[in-house]
Amino acid sequence: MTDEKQALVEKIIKDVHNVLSKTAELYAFDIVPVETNFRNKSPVMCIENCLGLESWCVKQVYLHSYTELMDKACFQTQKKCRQVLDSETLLRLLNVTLLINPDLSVLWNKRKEMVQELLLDTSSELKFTRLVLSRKPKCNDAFSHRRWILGTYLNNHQINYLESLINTELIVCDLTADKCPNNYHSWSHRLWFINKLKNIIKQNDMHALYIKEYNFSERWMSKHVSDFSCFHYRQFCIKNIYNLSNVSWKTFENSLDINFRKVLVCLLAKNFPKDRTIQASEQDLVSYSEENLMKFLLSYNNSCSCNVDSVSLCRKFELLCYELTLNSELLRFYKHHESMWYHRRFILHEIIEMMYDHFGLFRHNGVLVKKSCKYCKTTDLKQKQAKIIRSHGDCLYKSVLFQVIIKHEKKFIQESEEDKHAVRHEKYLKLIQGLNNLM
Amino acid sequence: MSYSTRNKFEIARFSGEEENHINKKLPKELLLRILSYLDVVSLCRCAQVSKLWNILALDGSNWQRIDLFDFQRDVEGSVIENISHRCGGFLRQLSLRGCESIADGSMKTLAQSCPNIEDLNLNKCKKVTDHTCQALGRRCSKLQRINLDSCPSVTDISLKALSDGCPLLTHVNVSWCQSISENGVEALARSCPKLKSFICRGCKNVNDRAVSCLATFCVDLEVLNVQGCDNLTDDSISKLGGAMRRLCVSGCTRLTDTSLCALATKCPDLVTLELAQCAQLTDAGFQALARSCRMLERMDLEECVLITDTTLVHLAMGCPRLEKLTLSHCELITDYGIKQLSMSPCAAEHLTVLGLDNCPLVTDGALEHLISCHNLQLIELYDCQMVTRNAIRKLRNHLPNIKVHAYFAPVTPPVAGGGARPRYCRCCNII
Repeated sequence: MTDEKQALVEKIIKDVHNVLSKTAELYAFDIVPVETNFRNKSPVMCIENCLGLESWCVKQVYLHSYTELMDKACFQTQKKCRQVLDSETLLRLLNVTLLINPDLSVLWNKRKEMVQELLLDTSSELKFTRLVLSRKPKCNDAFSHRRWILGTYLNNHQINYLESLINTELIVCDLTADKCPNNYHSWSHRLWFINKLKNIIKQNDMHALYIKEYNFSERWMSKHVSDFSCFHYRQFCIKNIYNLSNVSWKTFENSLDINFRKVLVCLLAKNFPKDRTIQASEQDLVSYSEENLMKFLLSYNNSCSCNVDSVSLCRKFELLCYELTLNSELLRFYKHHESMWYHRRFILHEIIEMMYDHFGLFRHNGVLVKKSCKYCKTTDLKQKQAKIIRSHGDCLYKSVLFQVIIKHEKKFIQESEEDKHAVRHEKYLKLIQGLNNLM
Repeated sequence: MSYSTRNKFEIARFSGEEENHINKKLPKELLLRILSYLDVVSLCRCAQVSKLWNILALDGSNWQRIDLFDFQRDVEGSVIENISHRCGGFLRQLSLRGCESIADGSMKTLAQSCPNIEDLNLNKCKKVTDHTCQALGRRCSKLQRINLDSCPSVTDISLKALSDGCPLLTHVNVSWCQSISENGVEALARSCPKLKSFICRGCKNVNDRAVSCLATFCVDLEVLNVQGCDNLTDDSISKLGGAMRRLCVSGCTRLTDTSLCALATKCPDLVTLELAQCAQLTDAGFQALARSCRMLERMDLEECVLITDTTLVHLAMGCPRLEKLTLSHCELITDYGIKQLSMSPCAAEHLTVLGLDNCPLVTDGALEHLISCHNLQLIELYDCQMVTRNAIRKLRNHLPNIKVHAYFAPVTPPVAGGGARPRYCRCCNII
């Protein structure tokens, strides 16, 4: 009886292997809940490029393959194992065991060894991990195996199919993120992958990819409002957009159906401080050059003679203000979602940091400190630190942009009073960002 | 028994100092003789006993036949070099099956130091290339058996070198050496007339000319395995001679009934015939075959999709020695054919293994007929969806030792011990 049982299990393992090796476009695996089998029928199913295994045999198959691997694949160094599996049987067992239970790092490591010994093909490994992820989209071992494969693959090879490689990788991330909400592993894999590509593909392509990812994350974000992993990725995308070249920025602006400047001006116009007479109308602001706009908003002359890149600064503000309005809109639609409030914190933090940076200040232990100019490295040691900081700080706090932002936040917090996160947000701004006196 | 002269002096010196009785009572020649019966592991252990024993155990004469497969397979080249230096001319037989890190360098050393080797197994030594075979061809003229299974770098050059230098070759295995082609095989066939066994599974370039050469020049050829050589046609298979005992042409999809008829007339002593995936074969061919090849013991007819119950009728009548019959994926086979088979003379005594997986027309009735096959040990029924669990149980009642392979979940024995446990724990009982 035990012989027969073993034969059955081995036959099933062989069937699975046959499907795996014959069907190239296999994209999904799952265990089909069939508790009993009345008919003498194979529990291995292959329908429309999906692999299925009936649940009645899973326990036996797993037990057999797992013990076989542990006994014979030399995992215990203490026990000298006599029988050694040949590479094909080993692979067969590894495939089945990992499909059923992918959280076994030992087995993944064995696969890595096999890849290094050229017993396994990298592209087939990518396919296999994808199959595993189709069932367990949160399996970190599978993602890390994928990273390892891609890392060696991208470092060592001249890549011909880079484009398709990038596409499949992003698709895998999409699928896994879609299958399982708050899939941290998927998003961090995506982030790793984009970072990895930085050293490999040309800058132009990279910028195009940044734009694509920015747009993608916006769509995703508005559909998954409490997936902070996605928001984190969005923040990564925004930071990537900062670094776009002029040409890419143009294509970026064209690719969107919104005008950043208009959004920024709209935000400004709604929240202009009352006590000041503003000479500029909305149309004027829209038509201003970046330099003039920044002068108007920040009204600050740097003490040293360095040129500030007001174009990129202006772009960053535009980008962040758009993000802020987007976030406000989403918050109005979907109330009580903590992750969106956290994202808002990120946006405000970025804006405020950027202003500090522009004014040559930074926060150290909650106190503003003057720093040397990052371009010319001169420090005005003649004047007293405290005095400079006071004057610079005043300048900063009186600037139009700062006042507009503060006013906008105040309004928004009042507006969404019933949300307990709004109160927290206010506290965050007051205590963490140190705006207690200003709000 | 002789041992290397360079050690004689040392043996004399050490044996004088030894206190051990066995060394005093037995002459060195006898000790050496005793050691010669030991396997690799025991010899290595003996070599650690004393200096004398070390010399005796590692003497080349003990190492005429070495198989490292069960001992150690992650051997490096230096191990092989050591072995070849120690054994020298003594080495007759060496198996390095699965020693994947062995490369040409150490194999060259081996060829140089062990010219008398007769049987060399390099199965799965993936790094071995033509250089090894060239060295063997130059030095080892006594080589009779060589196994180069799964050495993908081996090409026609190897076969030429071997055929030039080793005229005594009888057994050659070059399976999965995909670059082997007609030229190499022809050279081998021409210069090694004693060839008895030639195995080239998965060598896609082996064609009709290659097999024709083997058939014409090697009249003693008994074993031919050309599994997966899908270029082969009836032309070459029809030329095979009367010495043929075991033939495997699985995967040669172009073969037709002509081959079977030719085999029937020319090779009446066939014992094993594997015809898997030869989908063009029909009942007519098997009728001719069954009439004359009465010694057939093993037949593999997997995926011969055209055959029907008629074939089984002919086999049942013509092949009284049939032991093992595989009919997987022969989708036209019905209970009637199985009934005929079970009534044949082979069924009662010889038939031990019967493969019926993926025969959708086979039902419970077939199993009832098979009850008369007393010797049946294994029956494969995977995916025969008309076969039920009850029928298998009945068959088991009649043939208690039979193994049935089917897709039914194994019956797990009821969990014992759950109800037998005392309701109170032991300490409560004591109190």
